[in-house]
Amino acid sequence: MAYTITNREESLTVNTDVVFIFPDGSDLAVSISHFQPQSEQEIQQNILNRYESELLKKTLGEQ
Amino acid sequence: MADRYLVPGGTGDYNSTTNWSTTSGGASGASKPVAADRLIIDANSLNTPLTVNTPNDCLSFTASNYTGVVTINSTLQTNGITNTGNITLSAGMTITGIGTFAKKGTSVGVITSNGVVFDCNFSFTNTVASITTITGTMQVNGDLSSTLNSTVTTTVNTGTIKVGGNIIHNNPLVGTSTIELIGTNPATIIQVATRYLQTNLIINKGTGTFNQVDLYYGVSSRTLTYTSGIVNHTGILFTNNTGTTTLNTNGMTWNTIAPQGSIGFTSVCNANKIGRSSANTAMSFGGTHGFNINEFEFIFTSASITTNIVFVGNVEYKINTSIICTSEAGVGVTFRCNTGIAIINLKENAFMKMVGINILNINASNKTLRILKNNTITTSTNCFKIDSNINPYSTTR
Repeated sequence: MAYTITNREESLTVNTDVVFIFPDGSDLAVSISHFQPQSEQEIQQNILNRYESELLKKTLGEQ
Repeated sequence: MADRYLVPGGTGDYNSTTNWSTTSGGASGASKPVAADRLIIDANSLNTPLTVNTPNDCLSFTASNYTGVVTINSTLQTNGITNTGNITLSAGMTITGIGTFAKKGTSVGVITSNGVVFDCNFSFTNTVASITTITGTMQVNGDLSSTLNSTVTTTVNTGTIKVGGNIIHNNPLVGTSTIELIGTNPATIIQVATRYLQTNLIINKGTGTFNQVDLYYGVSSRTLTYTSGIVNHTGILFTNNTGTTTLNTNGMTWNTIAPQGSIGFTSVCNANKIGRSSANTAMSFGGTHGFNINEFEFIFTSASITTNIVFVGNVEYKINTSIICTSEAGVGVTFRCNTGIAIINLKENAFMKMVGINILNINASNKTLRILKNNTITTSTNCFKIDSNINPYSTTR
C-alpha cells in the first residue's frame, strides 16, 4: 500500500487525513479517526485497516 | 476458601484430581477448584496444559510465570466478589477454545490480561450490578457478552476491550472503557431495546463487516468512532437522552439516526435520515461538525410543546432530499442557533414542509426556508414567511 499523511491533529482523538493510492493508480483522500491511540503502531495499523476497507469497497462497487 | 494450584503430571482435564494440589508444586490429588477456591497457575505448574471440557467455577484465576495453554471448551467462571474474583493472566500464556471464560463477580473486580488474548468467548455473568476494571488492553477473539437480563448495569471501566466477534448484552453495558470491534469475522451488536451500550465504541473491522439493524448507543462523554470496516446499517441508531452522545463516524453512512436528546458530531455525519416522530422534547446538535443527510424529519405532536431544535453556529448542515419539521398542534418550536448563525444547506429540489416552526439565527445557504406567516423569523438569512394558501411544500427554490 502507499499513502501520504497530509494533515494530523491530536487531542483525545487523533485525526489523520490520508491519501490512498490504489493498485489501479486511482487515489482517495479520507480522514481517519483514531480514538485514544496507544501507540504510533496502532495508528499505522488503523490506516492499513482503512486502506483495506476502502479497497474492498472500491472492488465491491466495481462489480 | 482454599487454594488450588495447577501441577504437572496429570491428565490436563480440569475435573481430574491428578492436576491439582493444595500447595505450589506440591503433590497432586486435591479436589478441583470450585466456586470458593482460588485457581492458581504459577512457575511450578511447569507450563502444563489445562483443558476445561465441562462447566466449572473458581473464585479467582491467577496465572504467573506460565506460558502454557489453557483450553476452554465449556465455561470457566470466576465467582469472587470485589477483588476476590480477579482474573490475572500470565504474559506468554495461551487461552483458547470454543467455550467461554466468564466473570460473575460484583464491584470492583479487575481483569489483567498482560497482553494475552482470550481466543474464546468472554462473558460477564453477574446477577447484580457489577464494576470491572480493565487493565490495559483486553482482546477477546470470540463474542463479548453480558448475560444479566435486567436494567441493572454491567460496568467496565478504563482500558480497551477488543472484540473479534459479536457484542451481546441483555442489560445496559456501561463505563469508561472503550470497546473496539476488530477482525474480519462479520459482527453485530445484539441487545435488548433501550438497554443502551454506554461505553466508547470503535468500529475498526478492516475488511470485516459490521452488520447492524437497530442500535441503542450512547450517554454523555461517550464517543462512537468509525475507523475502518464495511458497515451495513439497515435500522435505526437510537442515541441516549442522557447528556450528549458523540459520533465521529465520517467514512461510513448510517441508515437512520433517531437522537433522543443531544448529539454531537466531531466529523461530518453521513446518514440517510435524521429524525424523530412524536419528537416532543428538545433536540440539540452539538460538536464541531454538521451532517450530510437525505432526510431531516422531526414531528412534534404535543399541543403544548414549546421547545427548540438547536444547531451549532458556523457549522453547515446539508439536507439533500427533504426537510419535514412540524409542530402542527402548536407554534412553539424554534429552529435555531444559540450562538452565531447555523448554515442550513438545503438542496435545490428538496421537499420542504415546515409548519408551526419559528426560525432564529439560521442562514439558508442554498434553497430558501419557508414557514407560515403566523410564525416568526429572527436574524436569519434567506428564510421567508408565506401565506398559508401558498403551497409550503413546493420543491422549487
